[in-house]
Amino acid sequence: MENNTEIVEEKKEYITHKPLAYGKKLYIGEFLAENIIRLTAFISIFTIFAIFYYVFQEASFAFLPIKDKNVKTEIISTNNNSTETTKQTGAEMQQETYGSSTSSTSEPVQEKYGSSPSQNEELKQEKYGSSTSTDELVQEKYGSTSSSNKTEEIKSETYGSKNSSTEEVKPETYGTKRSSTSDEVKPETYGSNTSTPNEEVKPETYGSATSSNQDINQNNISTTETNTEVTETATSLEDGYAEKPITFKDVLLSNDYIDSKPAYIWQPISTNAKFSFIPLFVGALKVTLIGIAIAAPLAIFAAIFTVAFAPKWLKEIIKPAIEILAGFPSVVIGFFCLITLASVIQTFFGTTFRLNSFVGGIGMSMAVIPIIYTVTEDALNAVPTYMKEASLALGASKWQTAWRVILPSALPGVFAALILGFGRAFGETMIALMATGNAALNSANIFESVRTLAATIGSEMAEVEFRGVHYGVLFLIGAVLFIITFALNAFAEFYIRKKLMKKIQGN
Amino acid sequence: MKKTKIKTDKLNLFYGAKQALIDISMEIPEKRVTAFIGPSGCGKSTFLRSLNRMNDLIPGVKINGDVIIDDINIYDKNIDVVQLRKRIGMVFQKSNPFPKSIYDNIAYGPRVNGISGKSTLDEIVETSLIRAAIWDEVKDRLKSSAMGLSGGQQQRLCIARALAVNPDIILMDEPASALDPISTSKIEELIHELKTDYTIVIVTHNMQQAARVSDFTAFFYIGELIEMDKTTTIFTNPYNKKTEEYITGRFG
Amino acid sequence: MNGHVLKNYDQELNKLRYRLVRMGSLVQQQIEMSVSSILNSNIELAKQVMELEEKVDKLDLKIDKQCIRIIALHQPVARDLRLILAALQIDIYFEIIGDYTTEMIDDVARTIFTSEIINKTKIKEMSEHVIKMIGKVLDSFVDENVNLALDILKIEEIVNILFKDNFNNLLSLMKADSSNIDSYAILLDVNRLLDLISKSAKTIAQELIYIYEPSISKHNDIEDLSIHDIFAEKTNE
Repeated sequence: MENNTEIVEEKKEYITHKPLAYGKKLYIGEFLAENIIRLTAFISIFTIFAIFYYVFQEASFAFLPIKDKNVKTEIISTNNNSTETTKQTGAEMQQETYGSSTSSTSEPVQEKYGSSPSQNEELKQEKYGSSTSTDELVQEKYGSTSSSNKTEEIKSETYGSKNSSTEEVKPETYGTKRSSTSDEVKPETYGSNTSTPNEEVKPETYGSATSSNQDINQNNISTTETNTEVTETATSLEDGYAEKPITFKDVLLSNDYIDSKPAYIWQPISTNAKFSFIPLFVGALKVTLIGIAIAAPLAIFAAIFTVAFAPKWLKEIIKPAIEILAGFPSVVIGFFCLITLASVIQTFFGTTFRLNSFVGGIGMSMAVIPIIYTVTEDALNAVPTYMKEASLALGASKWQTAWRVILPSALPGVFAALILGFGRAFGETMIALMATGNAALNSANIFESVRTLAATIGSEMAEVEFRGVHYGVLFLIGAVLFIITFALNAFAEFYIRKKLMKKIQGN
Repeated sequence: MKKTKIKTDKLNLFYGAKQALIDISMEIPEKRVTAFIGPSGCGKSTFLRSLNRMNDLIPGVKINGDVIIDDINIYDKNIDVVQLRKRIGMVFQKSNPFPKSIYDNIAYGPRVNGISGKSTLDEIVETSLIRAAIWDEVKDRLKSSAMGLSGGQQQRLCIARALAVNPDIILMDEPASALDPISTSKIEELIHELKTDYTIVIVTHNMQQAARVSDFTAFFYIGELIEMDKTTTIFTNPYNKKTEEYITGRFG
Repeated sequence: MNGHVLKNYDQELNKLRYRLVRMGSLVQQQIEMSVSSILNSNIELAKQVMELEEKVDKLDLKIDKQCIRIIALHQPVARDLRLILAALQIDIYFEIIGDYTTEMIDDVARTIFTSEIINKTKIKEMSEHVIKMIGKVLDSFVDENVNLALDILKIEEIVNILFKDNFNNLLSLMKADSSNIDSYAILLDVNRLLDLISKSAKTIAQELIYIYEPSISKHNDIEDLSIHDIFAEKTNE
């Protein structure tokens, strides 16, 4: 006891404490750090909600299009001025970047994103716009040429279509089209136009405008005018111009009949625009499922291999290699698919369409494999060593251990990887844009061209009228993508986590 | 005296350049409990794991010397490690049931051994659980997850899982180190019951536990086997001074 | 041997050792005083012996408690366990020795010995030996020295011879000199008690040997097969 007291006396007080008292001290550094972190978290949440709000708000223009006369008239007046001056300088009509102008007489008609064909003329609309004139063939940069005379052959360019009223149109690589003066025009894949005077115009996939003598339909993108009067664009319903707001019925239900069967048509640029999401959704689903079907087994097996079988040196090669693939710009993958892979696939399978959902799916799988691989590999690696040892100690082989213990234990992670991959593939734009052919065909055949939801936004957004119906529809597609992602996550959370895992891992 | 089940002869084990086991020669008697004691890092766990070649899984391990089980050298080139491990059950420090149902946990071993008949599996599961003295606690919830059991129950489940493949030898690596005293007692009682049919080797840090459950005790120190003797002798009158210092708590 | 990692354990064991040594030294004092008291008929000394006896009894209880405490709290094994067990035994024997000394001074008031009578016997020599034994017990215990304990066994043999000598001597004296037969009878009693004390001391010495060298048995007549040998036999089969 005496020793103890001595020790107590020797104890030096390096830290002196104030006597205990009430009252809090403010630690500024900690306070700031905590609040900055909190702020960042709230900002990120706020950003997400802001984007949601923005997308849904913009999507609302599909149902309630704004008609702001002042703005549009201004645009039109300037356009008119410019075209008038051009008219003065030359007989040929000048083209604009995203639009086309057509004049039948001396009056130029300008539209924002559309083209205005003249009376008695066939309008050819291309992806990047077209111009038509009564007597002159106007060549555009990315557009196609169309002649005003029905007898003239319409020449097409790479992404354009060849159309002739008198000749039979042969199918081309990037789409099919047929047009004839007397026949019913079938929907075309891409960049085609048809003109069938005196007949009802069949919807086209993209960028088509039709005009007929008798029935003139106008929408916000394409307008038709008569010689005598110059109408302002996108103004009045009483002029026959109908910017028809869409309803949910339009995007979900059948909007046309082909061979007396209900058909789902995506044909945004038309006198009778049709906005069915079904072909786009089917296309996106096709490409995504093909992509996942290819990527998931490859990535998961590669992950199992690296975790359970590969020696250390091989592991150190495989992992970075696949992760480099993740860093590949998707445009490069798309490029590869477009140029090389598509040809290979066509030679191999002898497909009608060079670019089809299968090619797109392969391209998608390249983008998705690294994601599924990385997440799966992490999940598999996170399975504790003692679990593997327990299995091995019971006399299980390496393969049995990997298949029956490691993989089921990591199943939540693997599902997370699949859902991440699915989300990525579903929203992937560039590969879909470049490699799938971009034809909104509603078909189950994987060797047909498709158009995905995301690619639709990517390709059409630049050409829509600001806050018009088409514009709103594109935002609606964005909203749909959001909702699908949410639904997928909810499904993962509530079904896979709660039900499926219980089945596999016991209650 | 019982006959020898496991015999090691000048077993040396290296982790890379570091020698973890030095010339271990030992005989482990059949159907008896043999406890390994010693301070941390003395090589007792390593030695235990070299008895069913679990050390093969660790990269950079080199082993020379012989481990002879039933007159067969398990480090022979022609030995199938998977077959060997089926004969040697192992229970780990941390209770490690698979994230499956209780039934699937027990049936895992038989299944990887190719047994698939439901009635056979049912029988194996029941007998294993009864043998591991946990049947009464889990018989009503065989389909529920093994992760929902308490720590002690999980550990007994792991023992049942090891028993399900019908081994001769059970290796236990600190089986009760993370359990409360009652669960520990249950495990120890189980070990007592099992030793009539199995050769049990147990590594433990708890010397009282070694004293309670084992018939023979081996003391390891820095990779060497210092002393092996009857447990009674080790704990009352050890031959080696180092052993006595260790068990009386004079170094650690 | 090193101390325990747990210092508290060492302290508890040291406390036990200290109390045992203290008890031993008290008992040693008791023997010295009681012998001197009876031979000199010193009643004062006899009273002091009785006072010491009270202290010894108290220590006995304390040592018992300390042993139980250590067993309960520290679960001693091997050497420590043997120390505790030996302490419990030694404690009992010291207590018995204390009782012998009080028994010795019962008759202190009865007679007065002349130095002549005392010199005829070897009681004094015997008492010196017995005191030396207790001293050696304490030394051996404190120094953890087996050789000192072995010495005690040798001294016990000497004491035993002395006891027999004294016994025979006193018997013949009683026959020859019946006038002092009371004194001789008391001396005979003292002789017997001293011998009993030495036998207790011998038992303590055996306990000490058991603590420090367990291979040497208490009872040499029972052949003790080393357990190491049993295991060696088994492995040779």
